[in-house]
Parts: sequence; structure tokens; C-alpha cells
Amino acid sequence: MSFPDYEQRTDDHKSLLILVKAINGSKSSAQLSAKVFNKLYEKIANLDELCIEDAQGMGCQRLIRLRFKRNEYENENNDWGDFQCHRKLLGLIAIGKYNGDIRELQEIYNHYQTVVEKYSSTLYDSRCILFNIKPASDEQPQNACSLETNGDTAVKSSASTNSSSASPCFNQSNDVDSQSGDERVTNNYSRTLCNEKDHPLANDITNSCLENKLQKNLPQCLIYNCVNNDIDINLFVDKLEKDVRDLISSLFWVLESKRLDRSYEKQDKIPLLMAPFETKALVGLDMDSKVFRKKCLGRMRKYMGDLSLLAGLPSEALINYGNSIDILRSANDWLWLASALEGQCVASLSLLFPQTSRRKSSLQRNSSLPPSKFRQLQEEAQNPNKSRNVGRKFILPNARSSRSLPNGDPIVAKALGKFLLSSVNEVYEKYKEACCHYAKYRNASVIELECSFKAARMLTFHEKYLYASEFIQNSVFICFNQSHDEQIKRLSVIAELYSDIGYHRKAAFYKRFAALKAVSINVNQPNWEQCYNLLLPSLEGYQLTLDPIEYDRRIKEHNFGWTGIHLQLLQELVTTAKRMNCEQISMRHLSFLLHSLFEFLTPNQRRDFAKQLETLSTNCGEGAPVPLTLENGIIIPSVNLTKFPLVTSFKVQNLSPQTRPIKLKAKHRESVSSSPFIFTPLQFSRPSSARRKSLNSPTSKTLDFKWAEGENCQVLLQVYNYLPIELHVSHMSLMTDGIAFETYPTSLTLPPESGPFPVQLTGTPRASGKLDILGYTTHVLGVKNNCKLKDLTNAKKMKFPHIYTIEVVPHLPLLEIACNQLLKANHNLKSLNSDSLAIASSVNISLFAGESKTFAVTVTNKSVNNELIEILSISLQTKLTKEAEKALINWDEEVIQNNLPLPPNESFNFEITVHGVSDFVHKIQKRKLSSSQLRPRKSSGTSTPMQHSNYSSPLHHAKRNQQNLLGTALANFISDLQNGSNSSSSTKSKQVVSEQAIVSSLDEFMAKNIEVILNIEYSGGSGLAAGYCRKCALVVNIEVLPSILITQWDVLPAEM
Amino acid sequence: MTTASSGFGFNYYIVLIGKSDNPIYELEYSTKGDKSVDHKYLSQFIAHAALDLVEEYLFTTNSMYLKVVDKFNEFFVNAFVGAQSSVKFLLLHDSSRVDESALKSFFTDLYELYCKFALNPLYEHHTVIKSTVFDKKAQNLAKKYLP
Repeated sequence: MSFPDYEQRTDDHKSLLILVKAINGSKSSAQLSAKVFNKLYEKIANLDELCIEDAQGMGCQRLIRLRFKRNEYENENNDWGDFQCHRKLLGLIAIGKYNGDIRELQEIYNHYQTVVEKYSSTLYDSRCILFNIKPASDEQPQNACSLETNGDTAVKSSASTNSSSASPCFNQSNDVDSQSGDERVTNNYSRTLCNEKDHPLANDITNSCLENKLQKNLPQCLIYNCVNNDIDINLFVDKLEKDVRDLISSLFWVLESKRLDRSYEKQDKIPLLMAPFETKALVGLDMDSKVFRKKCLGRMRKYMGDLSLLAGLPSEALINYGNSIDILRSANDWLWLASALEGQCVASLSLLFPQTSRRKSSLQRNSSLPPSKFRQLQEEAQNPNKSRNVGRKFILPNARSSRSLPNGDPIVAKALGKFLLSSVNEVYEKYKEACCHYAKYRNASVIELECSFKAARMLTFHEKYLYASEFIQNSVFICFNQSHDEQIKRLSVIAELYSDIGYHRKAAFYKRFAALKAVSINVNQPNWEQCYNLLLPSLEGYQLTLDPIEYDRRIKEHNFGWTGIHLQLLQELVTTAKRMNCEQISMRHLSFLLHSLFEFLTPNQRRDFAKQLETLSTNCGEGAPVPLTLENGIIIPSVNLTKFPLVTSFKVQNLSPQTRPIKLKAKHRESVSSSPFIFTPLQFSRPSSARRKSLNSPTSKTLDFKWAEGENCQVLLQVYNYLPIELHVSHMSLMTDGIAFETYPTSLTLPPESGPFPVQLTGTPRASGKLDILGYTTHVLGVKNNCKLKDLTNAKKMKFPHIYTIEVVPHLPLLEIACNQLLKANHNLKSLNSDSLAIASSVNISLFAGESKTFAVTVTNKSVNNELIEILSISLQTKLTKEAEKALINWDEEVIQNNLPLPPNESFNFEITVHGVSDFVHKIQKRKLSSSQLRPRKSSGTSTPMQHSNYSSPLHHAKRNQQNLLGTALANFISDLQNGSNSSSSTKSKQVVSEQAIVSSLDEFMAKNIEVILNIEYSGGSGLAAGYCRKCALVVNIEVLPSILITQWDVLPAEM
Repeated sequence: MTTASSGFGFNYYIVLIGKSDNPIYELEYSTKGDKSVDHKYLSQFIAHAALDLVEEYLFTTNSMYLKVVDKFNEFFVNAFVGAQSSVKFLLLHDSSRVDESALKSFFTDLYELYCKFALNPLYEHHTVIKSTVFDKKAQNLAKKYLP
């Protein structure tokens, strides 16, 4: 016996084995589709329990359990039926269809007969269910037919079987019914045949003739007439159930008769029951020895126990088993002893826990089943339940359910008490003993295996996990010749059993073991696909997830499991996928291995895996960052290599000052803030929920500057390469969401284990609105990656938000200013320097004090997107007062306004006049004393228009009080003069000295430098509509050279 | 899967396991002359699978030494659990000659060694032990107790 049934349970000892088989004819019309068969099988298999009234009609009921096999049952297994009765195939249900053709019917029937023949040694009864499908052209007469037989379309023709002679009460109740059924079926056939006009036989054979023929030829046939071409199962559900019940009751009565047959006790010689392999060992045995007789009796007892168990009498079975154990033990018949022990366990269990694993006994409610019928079915199903409830609680001698165990019989009760195992622990001991005995026989290894599985399942059910694990472990080491597929199946079942008891690590171990079996070197054709599919579910038991984000999270929580094992598993996955020719999957696993387990790899491993990934990608194309879905529906999450290269800084850059959009100041401010208060802490205009969101969650960061549509925008990154190989990063670009954004990919090559390197990612927004920067994309090691900021491993440490949100304003015009007449200055602005200035160019002007110069400024519209410049305003930025500014520099505002709007690529000129303002006064005396004071005085007190005539007037004292700082030099000078006029001659001599000094140090009269910035604000097009403008600045360095200097004057007294 | 049992001596694999099934210390020790077969991966897998049984056996006994908890092919797994079951000590071996009492004292000494190491305030519990002193002492213990 080499076909172990891994799904066996202890309850199966109590079940009658029935085979459900599809029977197909040679023609296509006579072949039942697999789908229909499976549906039918499911309907039948739903009926796994049945209550049968006792023959004596005392209200006692037997609970019969059923076990169905689909399509195949090996004869080898059937041969073990004497050893354990539940292995005997007792019933057969054959299902087929035919097309109304009697020859087809005959063919199918013959086929059915051969199947019956195959199992004839054990079969008690069988049925052949045939669907009679009529061709659509015969619809009219068909309807007539089906109308006639309405009520009972499934016509039965049950007859006694070969073995039914042994059962006195078999089929009695059905006799009348089946006879009438026979009539009907024959009627039906004759009609069908008559309808087929082209049939040569149809005209010849009379009704009566057919009747006889069918009765003779087709016993056990149930014919279901189908109205449509399709087999509508729901139409037949109740009939099917009825027929299956019928078969089962027939089986039961055969069984019961066998159980009650005590003839063997009267025989001198009890036949020796044997397991299949024992027949060879029989030669040379002493048939008359006491031991041999004991063996015969013990085995027969055990057999009776099996039958009792099948017939639903566990207490009776227990006594039989108990007796046989005693006998077999003394006869040293270990194999059968083990079997008897198993029986004892099952019988005890069913007495201890009568309700375990009992399932529904009626057919399932189907949506298309009429409610009335369903109710009827339900009642049918409930009725046996009611009476069964009486026996639900464990009553030791369950008198109500067994006829053969009279209530209150003290001897029986004593025997029962002796053999009954009182707890699960005892059952466990017995099972262990049974396994030990089985292990003594090499030929019984399958039995041992099944026994172990049964015990493990039973112990799992009773939550004795440690015991269960012992049996599972035992089943691993039972060795017998098995094909590789069988071995894999066995290991898979073992893994399943382990996961049932919550041993996920064990389960994972055996799943992987099974996977490796599929491709072990002993196999001729390694099945890599099977290996892969077995390997994948084992990962969970090893705490290995294929989601890199989840894996990173576990590492952070120090909950990552055994990384050495993960490494090995992933390598196995990579190899397997490669052998399967699924390079994409292989690459996915390899990139996961490299990315997620990076910190656990040695430098050599890092290099190897990175190289491996590169070569793999060159062979089979790039990996895409999408989850891969396998054929069996398992999804492998995408792996983005965010660590290669590792980004340590991600800065969104503002636009350059010249192109930076600036919000225009609203002229009608009143309309914006409707509040009468200048300041209010209640800001109604701002949605509070949005603010709270931005405060609480760092998920999205709104930047305080704006990008402009059509402008080249930048993000600055810093990257490290921690791989020990040179890293080629290509197609690195920004990943954005929201409005359209054109990216310009860059490529870079990073030397091994180095950093940081700055990287600029650029792009151009193609629309206005909100732009979300999600991260960046790269092509690294042949894998495309979408690296989202939130998925970066160091995102939290670097305080990266999940999304950068930036507002993009519509197109703005671009303006260029030039002053061709003047020299361009290269010098940097110092005094008025600030970042916000958009300096387009700077020019130098030098002029003498008192001189005026005019130069032209050319304004050109350089807009790329054909924007008009609609508004333009110029303002001055100096350190001077407003009045001083006006005196220094002015322009004609009208010219500018007249030239607006300015179309693209056109220009206009406007003139700026600069005046060399100066006070012309210079004081020599102070030069040496306070040369440091001179400069500030110069810079601060220069460009005031002066009316020196005023200062020589005697009213100068009064005026001086009103002088601003600019006039102080002059004021001091005048006061000095006044003092001087009153002073002695010593001062005069001093003045002579200073006159000489003037000539010698003329070059020290410094030119005055004034920096003026012309700020130009302009806007136009859609940008203007959105309320934005741009700034542009022209720096003018004005150098005022001294022309006339008044160093000294005297006030002469008026001539009389 | 199978070891070449040629030559005299046995293979041992000692592993300390932290709370998330992560190995915190691994030691391979062999009394065989040649280390021809590399068992490391197999040993890891067997040790990992044995953890289920270790956790089951914990509840059956009061002692820290759990004896043989699992076996696979020719390998036996002996287990020992630290106080509060936080750290598990597993010993994989293919030796038939080991003395239970020797193993018990081996585990006890190893546990003592671990406890002393864990007292180091700079050592974060349940992380990998990287210490040459620990390594050497563990080697010595293996030499002392394992045949």
C-alpha cells in the first residue's frame, strides 16, 4: 500500500467509504463535464451523516457517518479493507449522462459494470445516476414527457445487489416504490425512443419488449431526465439526496447483517483475516497451534469491532476491541494489536466526545431552491437531530442508541468500563503504543503514517499541542518508498499540521523542506516552479516579509528575526526564480535582498549581489517599480532602491531673483480684509483645519516661495554611495504629482563608498497650480526606482516631509535692461546688497559736480511664452532721502507708460538723467585732523542742492538750526570763518600754510560714490491676472568728481 | 542534508536567541579534525524550527534546562532558557555520547557568562554580542564540556 491518505481523521474509522465516479461514454454527448461533476460531488459529499431507524422500530437510531472519495480509489488500499474496515469501499455512485440514445446508454452502463467489477470484492451496493439529455429539436414531445413524469422525474430502478442476499431486511421499504418507478422509467424510455423517428429500432421494438429489456439490463440505474440541454443540478437536489440516502440505508442494512452474523463463533475454525502483505508469510505456519487460533479469534474480534463502529455502535465496538486486544497481546500479533488499539481509541473518543466534528447532514440551501422545498428539507434534517440530541451528553452505556447493549446489564457495563479510555491522555498513550507496533512492520509504514496524522489531528482538536507535535515529528521519520511528489505532499501536510497547532516556525521549516525536495539533486527534472510556490508561503514563518518598507519598520523596532536565515531564503528565491525563467521576479528578490538586508551583509556580499543584479538586468531588461503579481495571485511588492544612492538632503530651490514671482500689492486692500480692525487674532479667511493639519503632521510641507510656469526649477540633493562598487545612476529626475511637470533627467556616476555629492534635479512646470514633489526616480543597477520621500530610510532622521507642496504661478514676462552707452561695472554691490535684489546689470557713471548727464536705458521684452509686459514701474533704492534722490536722478514716467504694453521681443528706450550734486565746499584745516570724519560727511552730506548765497547772509544762524545733517559741513565752515574774522593774525599765518597744502594735495579730493538701484517691477499676461509680478534691478554707480571747490572765502565789510 | 560521519568527533552549534528570534551569539564547535561540511545554514534552520518546541516545553517544567526538545535527522537540539524566558540557548549536536549533566552544566556556565556580559551597561539587550572575551570564554566552555 503506497497511497497514503493524508487527510484521514479518527472519525473516518466510523465512516462508510463511498466512491463517487464520473462515467463517460465515448461520444462527446455522453461525457459529463468536470464542473458539473464537481458540483454534484459536492452536493453528495455534503451528506456526511445519516440517521437510520432501527429495524425493530423501537425508536432507536443509528448515526451513520459517510466518507466520499472522488473518482478514484486504489485497489491496493481497498485490499487493506479486512485489516481496517473503513478502508473498504462499500458503496459506489457512478454519474454519467447520455443523449437519449439507447446505445449510448448501454455503453455507459457497461462501463459502470466494469467499475463495479473492479471493486466487487468489497462493494455492498452501488448506483448509477444518469442524466438523460435530450436534443433541443425534440423539445415538444419532451415537454409532454416531463409533464407526465413531473413529481418524480428521477425514476429509480433499484434492485438488490450481489451482496444483498445476505441482508434479510434490505430494501423492503423501497420495494413498492421502486417497482412503480420501474414502470415509469420504462414508459419514459419507450417514449423517448418512439420520438426518435430515425432510429431503426424504434419502429420494431414494442413497449413491452423494451420494458423487459430495461428491467433486465439496467438495475441500479437512476435516470434523471433533463428538460434543457443543460444539467440544472438544483432541479435534482432533493431527488439526489433521496437517492443517496436510499443507497446508504441499503449499505447500512448489509453492514448490519454482517455485524449480526455470528456464524463464525460456531465454526470450528475461524478463518484468519490477513493484511495484504501477510499472505506470503502464511506458508509454513502451524495452523493448529494455540497461538494461531488465538490470532484468528483476536483478528475476527477486531473485525467485528470495526463493523460495529461503522454501524454506529461505538460501545459495542469498544467491547470487541478490548477483547481482541487482550487476545492479540497474548498472541504477540503486533500489527493487528496496533490496529485494535487504534480502534479502541476511536471508539473511546466517540463515547467520550459524541459531538466532535459533527457537521450538517442536509444538503446546502441553494438560492435557486424554492423556499417551500427548502423548508421541507430543513425539517427532514432537523428531525433526526431532535432524537439525536437525547444522546448528546455522554451516558456511559448509551442504551438508547444501541439495541445490542441492554440497559443495566452489569457485565456489559463492567466490560465497557474496563476498556473505555477515560481521557485524551490515555488515548494519546494508546496511539503511541499503536505507532510503536506499526513501526515493527515495514509494510505497514503507510498505516503508521496515517495513524500518526490521525492522532496528531485528534490531539490538535483537543489542544494537546505538544503531544500532537510528537506524532507529527514521528511522521517525518517514517520512511518508505515514495515518489518525490508524494514526499512533497507529505511534507506539505506536515507543515499544515504544524501550523494548525500554532508552530509556525516548524511549519515554515517543512514548507521549505518540501520546496527543496522539489528540486533536490536526486530528481531528474527539477520543478523550480513548484519549489518557488512552496518556498514563498514559508517566508512568513521566518518573519520575512517581502515588503521593504515593512521590513525597515521591523528593523527599527528590533523585531526582525533571524537575518542569516532571511539571507539564505532570499538567495534561494533568487536562484529558483532565475531557474524558472522569471528574471523579473528574481531581480525583485535580489533587489530586496540588497536593499533591505544591506546592513547585515558583508562588503563582499554587497559587491556580489550588486554585480549580480546588474548582470541580471542587462540580460533581461530593467525592473519596473510595480508590484508583481504571480499566477497564483500572490503579489510581490515593489522594491525601490532608496539606499543606492542614499539621499541625505533634499532642498527645493527658489527661483533666481530675476525670475522669482512676487505678489503684487493689492491696491484695493479694503476689499481683501473686510474686518474693521487693523489686527485681529481671529483669522477667518484661513481655514483652521488646514492649519491644524499642517501643524500636526509633517506629511506635507508647503514651501513659502513659488515657482513660475515655464521656468526651470531646481531641487538640490546630496547623495552618498555606500556600495563597494561604482554606482551609475541614470535618469535621475523628480517625481511629482498635481500639475504637469516636465523633468530633465540627469545621470551621475558615484565612486565606491563615497559622498556627499551634490545633485541638481531640474524640471519645468507646464501649468499653474499646486505642485507636489513626492520624491525622485532613479535607474540604478538596472532597476527603475520610485523613491518617495516618505519611504526613504532616513526620512525621519532628516525630517523630510512626505510631500513638498509648492505653488506654481502662471506665465510671467521676462524683461531685459541694458544701458549701451555706459560702461558695465563688475564691482559687487556692498552697501545696498541684499539677496532679494534681482540685479540685471550695473553701470558706472562718472560726472563732475554740477554736471548733468543723460543716458538711455533699453527695456526689452524677452518673454519666452509671448507674454506682453503690461505694467512697469520704476522705483529708486538708495540710502538718501526722497528729496535727495529726486535731485540726483530722474526720468520721464510718461515715456514708459506710453510704450506699454510692450509686445514680446520688442524694446523701447527711456532716458535717465543724473545730476552731479555737490556742495562745492571743502575745508582744508580739518583734513589732517579728522580725515576719518571727512568721509562720512561726504557720503552723508553730499547731494543736497545748495544755495550758498544764503549761507553768507547774516541770517545764517537762524537758518542753521533748520539745517539738516547735509548742511553741517557748510555750517561749520561758516562758523569757522566767523571766528576767523574775529581772530588774531596767528590764524592768518596758518591760512597761508594751508594754501600751499591745497595745491600739493589736490588729488586727495576724493570723488564721491553714490550707489543707486533702479528697481523695475513689471508684469503681464496670465501672471498679472493671478496677481504676480517680477522684479529687475539696475545698479548705477554714480561717481561725482569734484569740479570747483570753495576752500575759503572772506566776508568783506561793505564799503562806506 | 546528511553529514559525512567519517572520522571521529562531533559537530556542535551553539546559539543564543533574543526575543524576536534573532540570534545574538553563534558558535560553531567541532571535535572533528576536518570541517569539511558546512552545516551553518542547516543548523540555523533547525535551530529556528526548534524554537516552537522550546516555547512549548517552557510550560511543562520549572527548570531552565529543557533537555532535548527537537531532533532532525541526526541532529539533536538541547535547549536552555534564561530567566523570564527572554534569552534562549540552543545547542545543536549530532553526538550520541553527550552526558546530560555535562550539558546542563555547560548551559549553566554559558548562562552565567551571558549574565555577566549583559550587566555591561553599554550592551543593549537582545542585540548581537560582539566580544572577543565572550567568544574565547564560550570556546573554552565548549572545550570543557562537549566531547
